[in-house]
This record gives sequence, C-alpha cells and structure tokens, in this order.
Amino acid sequence: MGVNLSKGQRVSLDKNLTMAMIGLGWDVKQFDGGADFDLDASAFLLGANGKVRSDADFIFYNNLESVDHSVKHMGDNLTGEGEGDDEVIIIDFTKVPADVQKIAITVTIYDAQSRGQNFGQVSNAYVRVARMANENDMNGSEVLRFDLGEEFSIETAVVVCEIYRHNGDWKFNAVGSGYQGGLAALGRAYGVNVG
Amino acid sequence: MNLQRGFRDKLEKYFDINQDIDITMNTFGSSVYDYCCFGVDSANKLSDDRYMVFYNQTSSPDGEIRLNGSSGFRVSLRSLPLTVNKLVFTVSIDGNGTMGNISSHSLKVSQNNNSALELNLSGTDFHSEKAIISIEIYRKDTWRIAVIAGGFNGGLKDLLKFYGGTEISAPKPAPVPKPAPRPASTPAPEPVRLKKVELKKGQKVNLQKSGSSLGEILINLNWSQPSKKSFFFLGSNAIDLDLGCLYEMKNGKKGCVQALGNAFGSLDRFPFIALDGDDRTGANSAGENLRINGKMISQIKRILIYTFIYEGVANWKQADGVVTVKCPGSPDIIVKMDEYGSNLKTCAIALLENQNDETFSVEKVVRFFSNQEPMDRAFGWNMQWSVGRK
Repeated sequence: MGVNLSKGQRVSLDKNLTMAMIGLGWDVKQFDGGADFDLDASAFLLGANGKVRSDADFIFYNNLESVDHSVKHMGDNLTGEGEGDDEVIIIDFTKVPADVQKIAITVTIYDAQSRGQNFGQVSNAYVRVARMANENDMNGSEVLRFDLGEEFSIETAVVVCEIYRHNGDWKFNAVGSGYQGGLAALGRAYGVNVG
Repeated sequence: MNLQRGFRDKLEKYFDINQDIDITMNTFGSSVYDYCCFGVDSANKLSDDRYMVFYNQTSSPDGEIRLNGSSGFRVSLRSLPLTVNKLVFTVSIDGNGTMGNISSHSLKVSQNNNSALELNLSGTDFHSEKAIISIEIYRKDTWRIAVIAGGFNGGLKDLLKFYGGTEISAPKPAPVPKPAPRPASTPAPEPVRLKKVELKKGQKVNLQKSGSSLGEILINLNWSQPSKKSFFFLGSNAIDLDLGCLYEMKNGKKGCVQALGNAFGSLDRFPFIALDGDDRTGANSAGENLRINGKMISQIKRILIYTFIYEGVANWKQADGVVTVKCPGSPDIIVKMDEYGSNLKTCAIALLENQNDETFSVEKVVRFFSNQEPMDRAFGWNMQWSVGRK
C-alpha cells in the first residue's frame, strides 16, 4: 500500500519514476433499482495557461491516447464490476511534451443527471498512483492512494489530482475538488470544445 | 434545507450533536409502512440486536434511540456506545406494494422542533423496492448524515441480510385480533426458539378465555442446579433465579411483585397478582409461581414479567431456566432461558397487555438489563428504585 493522501495534500514524485498508472476504483451499486454507476476517468494535458493545447489533449473514453503516446486510457468500465482498479490511465513521463505543465485527472459519472446519480451515492471510490516497471507491468507498485469516500456529496464531477512540473520534477496534488455539471463542464473549464 | 439522494455532510453544521436529535419519517401510499432505526458496527453489521428500534422494541438499552409514536425516532448520539458506528433509518412495506407505488416519502431531521434538513421523495424516485434505507447517520471523524434513499426488492429481509442479520423468517406479527368469541380462532403460539435478530422476539398472542371470563394466569419459573444444596449451604456456584413482575393498573398505580423487598402481592386484593414463595436453590420441583387473577383484568393495564439472578453470576445457560405462562384454555407459552448467553442479571420475559378488558395479549420480549431500573425505564414504568434485600 502506498501513502494515503488527504484532500489538498501535495507530494513530490520519485525523480526516477518514468512510468506510472493512475488507477480508479469504485464499488458496484449496492441497492436494487436504478442504474449502475458508470464512472469515467479522464486526463487533461494542460499548458502553462491551465488549458488544453488542443482537443486532442483530452484523453477519455472516446479518445484513448494522446498523439505523443504519453498518456493512455486503458478502456471504459461501465459498472465498477471486478476487483482492483476499474479504470486505468497510464502516463509515460518520458514522453510528456515539454509544453505540458500539468496533467489533471478527473472522475465523472456518466449520464449522472438523467440517472439521478452523484458521488455521495458511490461507495469506496479511490484513485491511486502505482509505479510501473515497464509498459507491461499492469500490477505496478502503489505509491499513493487517495480515498474519495465521504469527501463528496451531490457532485457529479471531481478533479481528483493534478500531476504537475515543479523545478524540473513531477509533483502530485490530491486536489479532490467536486463540481456539478459532469464531464462537459470540466471539459469546458479546461478549454475543450465540447460538442 | 432540502436534501437529495447522495447528500452527505457533517451533522454539526446543522445541529448541536450533544443534544437529542429527532428523525421523523412519513410515507404515504396504499401499503402499510414500517419504520426502523438500527445501529450497526464498523463492519456495517448489525451485531447487537438490542440496537434495533422499531414497533416491537421501542428503545435501545439505555434509551439512546427511542421510538416516539410510530415513525419518529429521538437519538442521543453522544450516548451511543462506540460499537455503534452507524444508525440506519429504514422504511419497509408490509404486504403488497413497492416504494415505486408510494405517493410520497419524507424525512425530517430536527432539534427542538426546528427542522433543518428535509428529504422529500415520491414514487418516481424508486422502483420495485420493498424496503429502503432513507438516511444513515454515521461516525467519520464526527457524526455525518448520508441520504441513501435506496433499498431492496426483497424487503426488510434483504435489507437486514445486507447488514449481516440472519433468518428474519417471521414477518411482522399480525395486528392483535379483537378477542374472538371462539377460543379456537386465536393463533396457536409456537414454542419460542429465539435466535439473534429474529423478529419473532416480538411475537404477540392473545390468551384465550375458558368460558365467559379469564381464569387464573399462572407464570411459572423453573430452573435446575448442578447439584442440590440446602439453603444454608448455598455455594458460590449456586444461582438464585427469581421471578417478578412490574404492573400498571388502569388507575395509574404502579408497582412490582417480587421476593426481593418482600413484595409478594395478593391475588384477592390489589394488585391481584401474587408470588407463591421463593425457591432459592432451584431444588423445589415446582419452581416459583406468579399468579394473576384474571377476573380482575378490567383493573389491570399491563404486566411485565421478568426474572433476575439474585445470587451467583449471570450464567443463564447453566441456570437452564424455563418460564411457562399457563392460562386455562390456552396452550402453554414457554420461554427457555438456556439459549441466552447474556451477562446481565435481569431479563424481561414477557409483556401482558389488557385487550378490551377481555383478555391479555402476551408478547415475548426477552431483553436483558443490568437490573430492574433500566428495565423499568425501557418499558416506561418510571418508578423509583432502591437497593433491596431478601
């Protein structure tokens, strides 16, 4: 188990960390009736102005990999079914372009409004960062963990963390800020042309 | 403030959590809606069914959770033992209908009649659930509230299973039927075999009349001892199990009948309840008998039968006690004590309540208390108690 972070905490990542996975997990719904919880992890590659350089910097279920192959989404999980991480984003720090200052990782609930869902209803959601020995090391060794339980109420979108450059190193900020309006609102806030 | 499903927040932002907080639920629709509040441990399990408060158990052991009326709960969060990590407030449907059929469900959290948090839902917020968790109040650094508004199609049984409860085989006991002219129409009581978290505990039956009036009701307590010892050589292993009752008359008079304090009562005069004597060793094969004069039922409101261990450690298993309620014309109602491993010395066995001055309903209780006083409080007798001796 890695270090448990609390909301707002910032830590430096190991200088030798070249490849890491950001794992997101949550429990399947516990009660009868209603729709499954479909949580989506996304990544935004942000320039110095805090915005995406282009729409291609928005990595999510419909755009699984950045053009430079630095950030890769491993696929969509629709229910939270299964042990361990339900969605995984892999970051290869060696390939992150120099003009990307920050990578924001967000979690949103798909179709939250029509399903009447929010983060207060989701059990045992977490995000973790695990060091990968190489691109095939899908277990990784956990470095950081941030439990999302109890942090949120009626929000439908959460900026979980930001990984940002600081004096030549990468740092991790457990942001944990919740928003309403889902992925579309977050996308717009980061400068994506959301259709 | 109006709440919605998924809402979570610290209660102290709205209430003084060191004072009592009221949670009131109302559900409208064409079904019968039952309300329950239960405390679960940190593993989310209902490990102590004394913290299940509902129509048949209207208070937790020290009154930390109390049922007011049929759907209002008053909770004293700071009095709850640390083993209770979460309070779950539920609505369940008895019989036909689902939560999807309701016209409305509301829940109010208030203090000193000031309602600060309100949840208002309708049938369209639900599906085919027959039992739901409306809200939870839980410890996480401080006391927090979470609006769940979700549940199970399988009803209370599935809901309790979710919290680790077992074998809720008996549904809510039928409402007490009007005393029937024919004794045969009263349901035959089953021998009581109680396991943890079993709603049967609250099962209620009416005593039957033999003829035009209720006869003498005999409550017998018998128990065994490992070896017979005379009174003068009462060994340390011996257990002196006593029988007694609290009574409340229609005119408001209250009291108790028990050997302790020499309150043996009288069958012909007030309180029309008498204790036969005191078997101090269990050697007397007849055990101890408490008699109620059934002819005087119109003067009696209710009677709580209890046993308590006067001498010796609280070893109910070893005492092997059996309480039998006998009434002419009715099958015997038997409560076996050896299944219970409580280390508390007083056990409320059964509650007898006057039904239209014609008969008593007998409700099996089996709840343990440290002594008579907390038992008195739990059942709302509210008498003054002091230490007594035989």
